[in-house]
Amino acid sequence: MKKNHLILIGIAVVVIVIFGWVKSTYNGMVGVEEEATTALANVQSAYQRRADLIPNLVEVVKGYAAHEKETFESVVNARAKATSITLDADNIEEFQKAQGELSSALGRLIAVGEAYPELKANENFRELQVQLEGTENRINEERNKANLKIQNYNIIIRRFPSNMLAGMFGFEKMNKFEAEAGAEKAPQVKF
Amino acid sequence: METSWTIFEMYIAIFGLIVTVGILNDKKGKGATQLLLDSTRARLAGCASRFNQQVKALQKEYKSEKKHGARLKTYATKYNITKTDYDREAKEIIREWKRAKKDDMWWRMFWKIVIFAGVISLLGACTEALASMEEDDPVSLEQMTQAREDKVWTAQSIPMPHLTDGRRYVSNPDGIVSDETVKRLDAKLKLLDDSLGIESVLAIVSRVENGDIFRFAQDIFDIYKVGKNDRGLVMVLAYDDHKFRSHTGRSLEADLTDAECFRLQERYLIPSMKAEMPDSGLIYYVESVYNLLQGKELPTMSELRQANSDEDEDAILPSIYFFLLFVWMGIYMFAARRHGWNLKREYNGRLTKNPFVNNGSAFATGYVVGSILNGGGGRSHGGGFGGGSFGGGFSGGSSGGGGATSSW
Repeated sequence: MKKNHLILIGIAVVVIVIFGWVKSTYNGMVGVEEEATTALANVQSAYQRRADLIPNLVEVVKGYAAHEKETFESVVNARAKATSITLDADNIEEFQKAQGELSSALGRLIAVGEAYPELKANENFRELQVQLEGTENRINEERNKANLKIQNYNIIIRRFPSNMLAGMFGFEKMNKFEAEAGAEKAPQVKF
Repeated sequence: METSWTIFEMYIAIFGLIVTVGILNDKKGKGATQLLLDSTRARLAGCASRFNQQVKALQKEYKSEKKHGARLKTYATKYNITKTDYDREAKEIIREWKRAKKDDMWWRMFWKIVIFAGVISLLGACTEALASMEEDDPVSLEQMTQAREDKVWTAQSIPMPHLTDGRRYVSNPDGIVSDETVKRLDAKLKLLDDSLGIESVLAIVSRVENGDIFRFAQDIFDIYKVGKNDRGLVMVLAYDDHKFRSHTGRSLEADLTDAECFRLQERYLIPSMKAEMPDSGLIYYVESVYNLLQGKELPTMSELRQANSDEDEDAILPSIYFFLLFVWMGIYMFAARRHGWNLKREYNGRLTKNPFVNNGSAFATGYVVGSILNGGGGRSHGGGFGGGSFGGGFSGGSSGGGGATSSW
C-alpha cells in the first residue's frame, strides 16, 4: 500500500518534470522566435522610413536638376520594387537584393545632388541628407540586432535536446542578413 | 526572469502534489493509532490542568499566609516540587504512549524528508529569483575602472559618473571642458531629466575608437540602457576627431528628430567648436535642446512613472517564497500534531509560570517574541531607483540609432 503510493508519487513527479521541461523549452522557443520576427519587422520599418524620405528627396533634387530624368526614374522604380516586398524569414535575400538596388540608385541621386553647388547649399537638401544618414544608421543597427536575435533563435532550436522539440513543433532555421553586395563601396561620382 | 517563474511553477507543482498526496494518505485510516494519540492527549491535558489547579491553590495559600510572614522562597520551592511531579507524570504518559503505539517510522521519515527538501529548495529558488532580479546590471566595476589612461575611448572604458551619483550626467575624462562647465551642464541635464523625463549622458572625450562616433554612442546606449521608456539622449563630443553626435532613444526620436538635432548642432555648437571654445558650445547646445523640448508637448512624468512601474513585478516572487516558508511551517505543525512529535511541549505552554519568582524575564521574553512576530509581516522588498534623486544608474532605455552627427 505504502510502496504503491511511493511509486505513484515518483511517476507523477517524473511526469511533472517532463511536462515542465517541454513547456519551458517550447515557450522559450516561441519567445525567441517572436523576438526574431519582431526584429525583422523593425528592419522592415527602418527601410520603410528610408523609402518615405525618397519622394521628398527626388522633389528637391528635381528643382535644381530637372534634366537628370534617368536617375529619378531609376530611384522611383527601385523604390516601388523594394516597397512591394514584405520582409519575413523566408525572403530575406530577395528583400535585401531589392533594397540594395534602391541603395545604389539613391547613391547616384545624392551624387547628382552633390554636383550642383546651389542644391548642396539648400537647407532642405541638407536636412534630407541628415535624415537619410539617420535612416541608414537605423537600418544598420536594426539589421545587426535582427542578426543577433536570429542567431540566438538558431542556436536555441539547434541545440540538443531542444532540437528534438524544435523538429516536432516545426521550428525552422532562419537566414541572417548578409552584407549587401557593393554596400562597402562608396557610390561613384561620374562627371 | 522567465526561468525564475518556470522554477517557481515546477516547485509548486512538485511539492504541491507530494504534500497533497501525503496529507490525504496520512489523514485516512489508522483509526486505532489516532484514538490512542487522542487519549494520550486527554491524559496529558488532565495532568496539566491538575498542575495548574495545584499552583492556584498554592497561590491562595500564600496570599492568606502573607500576613503571618510567609516567605516567597518557600513557595517557589513548593512550585518546583509540584513541577517535578508533573514532569515525571507527563513523561510516564508519553512513555506509555510510545510503547503502545504502532511504529510509524515511515511517515515520520516521509514528512521530515519532504519538509527538509521543500525548505532547502525553497531557499535555493528564492536565491535564484533574487539573483536574477539583480543581474540586469550590465557593467562590472572592473570595466568601469579599467584603462583610464587611454586617450582613445570606447563605450566600455569611459567612466560613467551617473552610475554612482544620480546628479551627474557628464563624463569628462580628458578634461576638455572646465569643472565649472561640467557643473553647469550637469545642472541643466538634471533639469532635463526631472522636468521632461529625459535621461541623458554627455561624454566629452578627445578621441573615440576608430573615430566612429556613431558606434560609440550606440554602444553607450546598449551597455548602459540610457533612458526611462526609451526616452534617453546620448551626446558625444569627440573634440580631436572634430565630431559631435546626438543620439536619441527609440521614443525620443519622435520628439527630437534627426533634422532638429542637426540644425541645433549646426547653429549653436559648431560655430563655437570652430572657434575652439568647447565649453560655450556645449552650454549653448544643451540649453537649446532643453528649450526646444520644453516647447513641445511631451508625456508627463506621471505617465512615464506608470509605464515604468510594470518592472516591479519581478519583486513578487521572493515575497511569494517568503510566504511559502510559512506554509511549510504550517505543514510541519500539521505533521507534528498528527504524529505527536512534540506531545510534551504541546502542554508545557499551558502550565502556569512560577508566580513566586519575581523577575522581568517572562515579560521581556513575551515582548521580544511579540515584536518579532509583528515585525515579520512587514517585510518590504527593494524596488528600482526610479524616484530617487541620489542613487545612480540608468533606467533601461534603448536606441534604434536615431540622431545626427556634425563635424567641423
